[in-house]
Amino acid sequence: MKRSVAVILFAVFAVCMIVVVLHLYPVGDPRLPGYADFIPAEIPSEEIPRRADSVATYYNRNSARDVGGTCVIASVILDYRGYDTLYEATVLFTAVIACLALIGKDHHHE
Amino acid sequence: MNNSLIVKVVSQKMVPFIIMLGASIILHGAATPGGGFQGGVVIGAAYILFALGIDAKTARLRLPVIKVKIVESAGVLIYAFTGLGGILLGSNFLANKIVLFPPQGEPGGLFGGGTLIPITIGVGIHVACTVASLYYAFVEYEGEPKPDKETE
Repeated sequence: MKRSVAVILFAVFAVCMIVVVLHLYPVGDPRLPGYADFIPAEIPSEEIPRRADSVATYYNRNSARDVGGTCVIASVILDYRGYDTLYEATVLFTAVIACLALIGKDHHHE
Repeated sequence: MNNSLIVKVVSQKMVPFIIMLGASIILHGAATPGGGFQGGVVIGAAYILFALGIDAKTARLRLPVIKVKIVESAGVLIYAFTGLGGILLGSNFLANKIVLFPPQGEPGGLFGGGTLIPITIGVGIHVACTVASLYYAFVEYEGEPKPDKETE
């Protein structure tokens, strides 16, 4: 019973993931958000302003107004992506606690 | 190395300057490239140099393990409580410009980033103590560094 439920759930998730992957743009497609500043020559000039309004260009232009720092990288990792850095620090903390628990010596029982 | 006066003196004299460099990198995290992780590693390396110059037992007395662990936890908590300030003032977690917490400085200046400076300081403290505590753990695991009799 448990096994069949697991197999059915796995099949459902696998189908969902395959469908999502089939709908993605191919790698290197200029429509991807990361390629905002790369504008191919065959794009007509009236499409360029709309195309440039993507996430990378937005950060470059507006981070000084939104956050206030002049370092765009610091603005992105600490403000726009602040949750990511918070849990990154938490993961580092957990890893160190695990290291100390495994190889550290207990000073209270020396 | 344990008996070398030059290594001992130079490593002790270098430590405050390296810590100043790390603090500078941390405090300029909002204005220049660098930030909490990089400056924290520099400060942790300064502690390792300090512990290598004198023996590990004396270094451990200067900076006890329990203090390092407390300060390390405080680094993460500074980050989290900076985010909670946004909630207390009626916006979302880690809100910056919307609630004006902490007070915004001049844009482009040292405190221009609002939450960026407390977050960077918290991350820097955390990473520095992480490096120091990992050094503690490995030195304890390997045992005290023994004087090398063959080279004398």
